[in-house]
Amino acid sequence: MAEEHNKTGTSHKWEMVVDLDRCTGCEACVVACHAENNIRISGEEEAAQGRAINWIRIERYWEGEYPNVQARFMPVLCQHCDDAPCEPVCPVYASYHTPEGLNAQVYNRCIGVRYCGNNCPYTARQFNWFDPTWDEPLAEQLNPDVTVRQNGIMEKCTFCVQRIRQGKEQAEKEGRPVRDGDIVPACVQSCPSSALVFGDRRDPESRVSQLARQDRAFHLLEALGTHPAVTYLKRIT
Amino acid sequence: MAMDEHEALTALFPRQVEIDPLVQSLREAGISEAQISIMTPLPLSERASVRLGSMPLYVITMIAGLVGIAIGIFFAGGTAAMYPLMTGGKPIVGAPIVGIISYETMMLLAIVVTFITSVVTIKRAHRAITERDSRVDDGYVMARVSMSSTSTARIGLIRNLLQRAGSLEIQWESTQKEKGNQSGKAIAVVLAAICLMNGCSRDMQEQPSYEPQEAPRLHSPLGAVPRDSRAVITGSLEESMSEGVNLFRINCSHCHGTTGRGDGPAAAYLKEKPADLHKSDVQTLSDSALYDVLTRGKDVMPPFKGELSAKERRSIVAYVKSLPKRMLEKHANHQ
Amino acid sequence: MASGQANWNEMPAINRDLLAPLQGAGLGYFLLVVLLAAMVAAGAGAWFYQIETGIGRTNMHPPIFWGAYIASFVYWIGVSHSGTFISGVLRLSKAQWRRPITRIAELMTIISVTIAALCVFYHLGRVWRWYYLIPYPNQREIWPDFRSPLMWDATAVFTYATASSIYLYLPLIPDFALARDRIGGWRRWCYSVLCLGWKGTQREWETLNTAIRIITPLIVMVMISVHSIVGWDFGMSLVPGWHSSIIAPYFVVGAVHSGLGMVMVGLYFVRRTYRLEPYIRPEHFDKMGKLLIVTTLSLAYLYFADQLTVWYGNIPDHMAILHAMVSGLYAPPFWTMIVLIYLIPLSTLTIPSFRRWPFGMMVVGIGINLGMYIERMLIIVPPLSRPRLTYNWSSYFPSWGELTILLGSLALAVLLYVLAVKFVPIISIWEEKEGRMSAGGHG
Repeated sequence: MAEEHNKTGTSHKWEMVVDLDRCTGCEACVVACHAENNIRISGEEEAAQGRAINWIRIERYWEGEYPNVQARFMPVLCQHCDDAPCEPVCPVYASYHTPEGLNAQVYNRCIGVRYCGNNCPYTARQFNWFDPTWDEPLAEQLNPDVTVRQNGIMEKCTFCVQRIRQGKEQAEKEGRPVRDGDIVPACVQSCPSSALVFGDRRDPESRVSQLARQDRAFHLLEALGTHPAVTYLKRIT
Repeated sequence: MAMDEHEALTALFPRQVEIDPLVQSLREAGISEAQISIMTPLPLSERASVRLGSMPLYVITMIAGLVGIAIGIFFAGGTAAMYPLMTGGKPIVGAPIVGIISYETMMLLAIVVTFITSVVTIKRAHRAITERDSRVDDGYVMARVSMSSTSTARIGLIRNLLQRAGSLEIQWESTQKEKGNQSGKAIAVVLAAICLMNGCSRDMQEQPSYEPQEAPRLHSPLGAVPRDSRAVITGSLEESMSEGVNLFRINCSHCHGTTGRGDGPAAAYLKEKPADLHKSDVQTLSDSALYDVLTRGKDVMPPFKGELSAKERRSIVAYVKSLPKRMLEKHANHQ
Repeated sequence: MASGQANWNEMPAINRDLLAPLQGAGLGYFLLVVLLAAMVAAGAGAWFYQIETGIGRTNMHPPIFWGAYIASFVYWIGVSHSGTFISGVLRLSKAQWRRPITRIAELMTIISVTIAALCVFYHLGRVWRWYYLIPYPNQREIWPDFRSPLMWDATAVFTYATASSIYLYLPLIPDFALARDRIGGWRRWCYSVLCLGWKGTQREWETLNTAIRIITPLIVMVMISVHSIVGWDFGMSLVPGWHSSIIAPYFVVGAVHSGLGMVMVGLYFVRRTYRLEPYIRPEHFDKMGKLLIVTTLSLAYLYFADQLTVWYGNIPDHMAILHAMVSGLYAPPFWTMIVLIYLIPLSTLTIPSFRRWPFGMMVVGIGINLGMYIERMLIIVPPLSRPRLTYNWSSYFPSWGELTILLGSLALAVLLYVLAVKFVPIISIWEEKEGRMSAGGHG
C-alpha cells in the first residue's frame, strides 16, 4: 500500500509494524521512548490535566459487558503519514516530509502555533506547555543526541531519527548497505513481546515488508487517506 | 508656470454665493482655470475622476494591483519553488494558494498606492496656498485668484469683479513660500517590542544533556562560599568542633603543635616560626580573617584551599578560636 | 435649493456640536480611563507571566490545542467587519443614513483588528520568534509556508489592517483640518501633521472623493476575503466539525452580524454620553435593526444548512460533536448562543417600535456579541474535544490566566476607543454637512 504512494526518491522508506496480537499493554515502549528522547516529566497534576507527554501511548479500550469484558490495547504513535495533514498547515515549515518518508519536526523553527496538533487525526502530537524539568538525578541521563526542547515547541515521535542517522552513518563508515535490524528505535528495542517491528519498506525481504504484506494488516483511520507508515496487524486471539 | 503663485487675491464669500457665475466671470476676465481655487467645507460636486496629468487615478490603481499580483506569485509560488519542501503530499506550488495570496497582495498594493498617490496629489494641489481661513468650515466660501503683481489696474479689475459677486472681504496675499510644513514628517514605524524581548535569545543552544566525553558538572557542596569571598557562613558549632579537633591534629599540629603553641616538630626546621595560636594577635582576628589565612596561606604556611573543603576549614577556625577556652578548662581540670 | 442653502447656516452649530466631545473631560471620563488602564495592566501582567512560564498557564491540553485565544482572535476580526460594512457597503449603495455612523464604526474596525492581532500573539508558544512568519530573505534560506491557511490569515489580516487604517484616515483629513483650527494644545500639532495642510480646494475634494470611490469596492472585497480566510483556518483541517465547505460564507455573515451588534452598542453610548441625539436619531437604529434582521436570517440559514447535513449524514465522528453541543457537555452554551444570536434578535428587531428604542437595541447588540463569542468558542472546542480516536476525548474551559488576559484586551479595546473619542471627531463632520446639504435632493 505504501509503495504506491511512496513519494520518496531515495533508497529508504522507514516503516513500522505493530502486531496487536503480541501487544500486552506493558508500556515498556512508552518508558523507553521517554528515556531515549529526553521527554520531560509532566508530574501528577499535569497528567491529570491531560498534558502527560507521551510520544507513544497505549490506548486501552474496553469491549463487552460484564462479565465478558476485554481490554484492547493499541499503541499509537506518530504514523509518519505520506499525506500528513499536519505538515502543510504549519506556517513556518517546522513540519515537513523527509525524502525517506519521515514526518520531521524542526524544533528550532517551531513557534508554537499548534495547528499541526489540531490537524493530526491520531492526536499523536504533543506540545511543551512548560520548560522541561526532571527530578534529580534523572537530568544526568539525558540523551545528547536528542535536543531537549524548551517550552512552546511541538514534538512527536521521530522514529528515533537519531538512531536512523547513526545506523546509516555506521553503515557508510563500514562501506556496506544498512542491514535489516541495524536500526532499532527505542520502543522497538524494548518491547518484550516483539510486537513492534521497524525497518526499510523498500527492501522487500525486510521483516517490516514481510509483516506488512500479511492478511491481518490494516492502517488506522485508513479512510482519511493519510497513508500512514505504521501498519497494524489485527488482533485475532 | 512663470507666474508667482504666492501672490493672490483672496475673497471671502457668504454661504449663498453662486460659484459657477463667479468662475465664469473670472474666466472672461482672462484668469485661467489653474489660477482659481475655491475652498469650501464640503465638496461642491460629486465629481470623483481626478487625473494626474492625463492619467486617471484608477489606472495607477490597476497598475499597482498587477504589481501586487506579481508579488503574491513570488511569495506563494516563487519562494516555494526556490526552496521546495514536501509537506503532506500537497503540490509544491498550488494554484489555489497562489491565487489567494496574490488576491490579497493585489488589494494591498492597489489600496496603498492609491492612497499614497492621492496624498501626494492633495499636497501638490494646495502647495501654493499657505493659509486656511477657518471660517470656511463655518460655511463660508473662500475664492483665491493667484496673480503676480501685475498692474494695479488689473488687480483692481479682479477686485471689483469679486466685490460684485458678493464677497465680504478681499485681501491681497503676498508671502514667501513657507518652508515645507510639517506634513512631510514621516511617522516612525515602531517594530513590535515583542521581538526585542528575546530576539537574540539562545533558545536550546545550551543543552542540559552531557555530550560524550564531557566532564560531569559537579554541583557545589551545600553551604559552599564563592571563590573569592572571605565571608564565613557559620554552621552549628558543636559538629564543627569535633571535626575541628581531628582536622587540627592531622593538618596543623605538625607545625603549630598539638596545643597550638607553635611548637610542633616541624617548627624547628622553619625559619619563620609558626604562630602561637593562643596569642591575642591571633585570637583577636575575626573568623573571616582566620579563614582567609587558612585558605590562602601566609608566608611559609601553605594554602589549604583544595586540600581542605570550606566546611573543614571553618571547623578548624572554630577550633582555633576555642583554644584559649580549652586551655582554661584544662588548667581548671588540673587544679 | 433654498432648503439646501438654509442648511449652510447650520454649519457653525454642527462644528460646535461635533467638536464638543473633543473638548473637556469630566471626572467620569478620567475614572473610566483609570479603571480600564488598571484592567489592561492586569492583563499585561498575566500575559508576561504566561510568556515567562509557558502556555501551560492556559487550560489547553491535547487534543484541544486551540482555545480561548483563537476564539477571541476570530471574534475580534468579526467585530472589525462592522466598520468596513457600514462605511464601504453603505457607501456603495449610497445609503445616506450611514453618515453619522461611519466614523464610529471605522474606529471600531481598526481597534478590533489591533486586538485580534494581539490575540494571535497571546496564543503563540514561542512568541519571541513571531517574526518567522514574516517573509524575508534570510541566511537560513527559509521562507514561511504559504500553503498554511495561517499564512493566508497573516497576509489577509495585514492587508485588512492597512486598508482599514487608510480607509479611516482618508475621510478624516478634512476633519483634522477643521479640528486644527479650533482645538489647541498638543493635539493641534498632531492635527496639523495629519491633515496634510488640507485647504479644501475643489481639486483636493475631487482627489479625496476619487480615492475613496476607488478604495471602497476594493476594501469591501478585502473584507469578504479576510473572514473567509479566517474561516478556512478551520475549513482546511481534517477535524470533523471544522471541515465544512460552508464555513467561509458562514464566517463572513457571522462577522457582519456581530459587527453590527457592536456598532449599535457604540452608537448608543456615544449618543448618550455626548448628547448627540440630533445626529444619531432613532431612524439610524431602525435602519441598523433592519440590517441585523437580514444578517440574523442569513446566519440562521447558513448554520441550519451546515448542521442539517451533519445530522442527516449520521457519520459517527461528526455526530459525536453534534450530540455534545445539542444535548451533551456543551448544551448550555449552545442553547444560550441560539437564544442570544437568533431568537432574541428575531423576536425584538422585527417590531418597528423596538427598533427605534436605542437602549433596547444596545442590549440586543450586547447579547448578539456575547452569543457570537460563545459561538466562536463552540466552533473551536467541541470538535477538538471529540477526536476520532475516542481514547483521547476531553474537555476545556479557559483558565484564570486566559480570562485575565482576554478581559485585559477587551479593556484595551474600550480604552483605545475612549481615548480615540478625544482625538478624532466621532462623527464625520464634513460628511454630515454633505448629507444635510443634499438632504433636499437625496434624502
